[in-house]
Amino acid sequence: MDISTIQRDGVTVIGLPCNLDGTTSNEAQEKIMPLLVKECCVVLDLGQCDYISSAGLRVLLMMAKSLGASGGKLGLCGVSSEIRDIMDMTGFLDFFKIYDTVDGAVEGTLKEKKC
Amino acid sequence: MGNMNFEFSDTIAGYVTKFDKEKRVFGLKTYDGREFSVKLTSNTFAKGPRNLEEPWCDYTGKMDAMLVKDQFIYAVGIFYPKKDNHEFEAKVLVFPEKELNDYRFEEPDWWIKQARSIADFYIKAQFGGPANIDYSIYRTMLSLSGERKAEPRQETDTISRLIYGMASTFLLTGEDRFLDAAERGTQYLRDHMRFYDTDENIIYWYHGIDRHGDKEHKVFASEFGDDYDGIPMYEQIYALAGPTQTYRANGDPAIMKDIKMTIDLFDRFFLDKKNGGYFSHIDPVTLDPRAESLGRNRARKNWNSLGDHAPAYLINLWLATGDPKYRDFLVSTADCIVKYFPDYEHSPFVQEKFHEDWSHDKTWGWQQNRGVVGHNLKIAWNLMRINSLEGKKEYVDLANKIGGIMPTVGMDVQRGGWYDVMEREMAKGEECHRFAWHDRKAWWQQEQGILAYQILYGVLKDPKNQQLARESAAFYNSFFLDHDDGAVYFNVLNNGIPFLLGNERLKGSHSMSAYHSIELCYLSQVYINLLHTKQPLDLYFKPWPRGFDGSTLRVEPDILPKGSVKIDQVWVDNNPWKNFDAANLTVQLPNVDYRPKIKVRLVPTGK
Repeated sequence: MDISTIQRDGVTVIGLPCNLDGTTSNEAQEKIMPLLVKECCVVLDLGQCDYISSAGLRVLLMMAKSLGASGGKLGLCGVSSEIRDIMDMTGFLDFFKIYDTVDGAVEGTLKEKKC
Repeated sequence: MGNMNFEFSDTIAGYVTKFDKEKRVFGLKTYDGREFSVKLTSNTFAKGPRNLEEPWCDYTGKMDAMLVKDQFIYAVGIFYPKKDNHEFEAKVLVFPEKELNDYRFEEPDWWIKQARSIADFYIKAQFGGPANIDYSIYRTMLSLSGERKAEPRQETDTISRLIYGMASTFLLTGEDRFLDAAERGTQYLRDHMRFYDTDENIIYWYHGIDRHGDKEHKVFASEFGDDYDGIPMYEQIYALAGPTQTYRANGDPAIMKDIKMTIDLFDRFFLDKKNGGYFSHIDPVTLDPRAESLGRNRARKNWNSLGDHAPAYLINLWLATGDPKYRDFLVSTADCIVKYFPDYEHSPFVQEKFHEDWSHDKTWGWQQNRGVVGHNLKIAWNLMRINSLEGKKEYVDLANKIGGIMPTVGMDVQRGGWYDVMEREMAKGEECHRFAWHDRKAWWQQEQGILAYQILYGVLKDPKNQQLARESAAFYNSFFLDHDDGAVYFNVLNNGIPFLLGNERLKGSHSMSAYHSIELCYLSQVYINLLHTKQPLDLYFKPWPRGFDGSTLRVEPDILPKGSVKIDQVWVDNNPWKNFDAANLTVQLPNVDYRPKIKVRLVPTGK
């Protein structure tokens, strides 16, 4: 799995190239978690992700928890309506800040950090 | 210590030794043999045994006739200072017996009526009545009189416990409104409180949801202080309590699927494969019992995670299925308790909290080095049940030991009833174990005492246990039944007067929800009828077509000594049905495409 990472205004933008399910979540977790340094801001772009399973939700939750514990911030963008529904039904929607675009997510995450 | 020459009110529980009608004084001997002289006044009145929904039972007119030797009574009155001592004047006499050795709670339907009354109270409180049972309006918090509180919280466990109460009442009465409430609740749990982890192929249950009109906000990890931000084992265990009891009545395969996948959660994530037993908590995200995020709950085991499987769902699951793997699970639970819980070198109370290597955790939260009286009694009760499945001397020995010890440290020998949380060890110079917070008595702990001694007597036949069973049930029935608003009180003061402050005022809360009160009713009626008084007991079922494996309905009411009970008669929709195995306690169900009502009459065999 080739995840993309770019730096925008001090925010690490991570792009996932695929769905986040039982077959991909482990590898995604292994590649993403080391990028979450203390107090960093991270945007996860799910624009190429059509489906997320419970394993995938777990990866997102781990990211949120890890960043929360270290004083960092996480924003999501490119979240499809299907994924948003899954997150809503499982009660996890409130755990995340969701933005419409990468630019919006970068700006929003930085603002959150400053607050 | 200051001079005790002041008056104070209290209750004395004891047996009449003599009665001087002229002087209006009688002798009253407590359980532990201390004798008091009790004076009757011109204002003393008396009340007799009274079940829920029965009218006031006045015994004032027959008070003299009832004060015969060995009559068990509660004398509620005032101690007045007199010289260097006190004299006691009774204001109220409470007679748990109708006549000498005739306890009304040993009637063949006393507890059935009580269960019905409690279940109807909760149906009215939660749903406004049986006509339209809709769990979207259910609320965990109920006031003393049964009004739903404004808090939006619906806790999974309190719904499951309510379902248990409803299903159990259906088993006892066959009245459909109770099964309807149980089934609708089970469906509601499945639709709203269940998390199906498709990758791990397991199920776990949300702590609860907050309902705001049609919107619901799921609460994933526990928000209860003891378990904050973790998934506690006991919440997952009790999520199964109601559905499993419902399954006993209806054989719904969807319930069995949920049960199996939840047990998979237990075995894959809570089980300590190295040291044995089940961890008490796992991290809600990583499902790891050793996650640092769990804090004081990290890599711990406790009574709830180790022993509560049996009474909460596992015994009922075994009774419903006869599956050997559940029998093995029960036996391993009992083995674990017998191996790790006794700590009699240091304390008359068992140890309840452990690190993963079974070393004792005596510094956790509120528990510290304290014992819960009700947990000790619960262990005795459940060891005796499991012993009837797999007879082991160590089960009986420990149950008997607990049964012998608890009256000396956990029972109120002055007033009756069972205490709450006590310090496990006495400090230097102390002569009795201290109460952790208070000497109030909780309804669920009375249940454990009643059932422990009922089954100890029923199986082992020692009359000392019968005495304790009777005294425990007498205290509960005399002081815990709320004849004004219905159901039972959460707590009473040491003298039996209801305690109505804070959460202990409520009839619905995180702690109370028609589970213990109705479990007590169901099992008391089973033990009394089938083990003590040798009366028949009717149970009811309403199976889904082809729900139970092989269309075989298993009707053993509880795990009782093998061969002690048999089926006498069966009816299907009120018509006699002959296709049953009396000794093995199974009924071969008719091949029909609707849900028949099955009534089974169980009788003791005399063995």
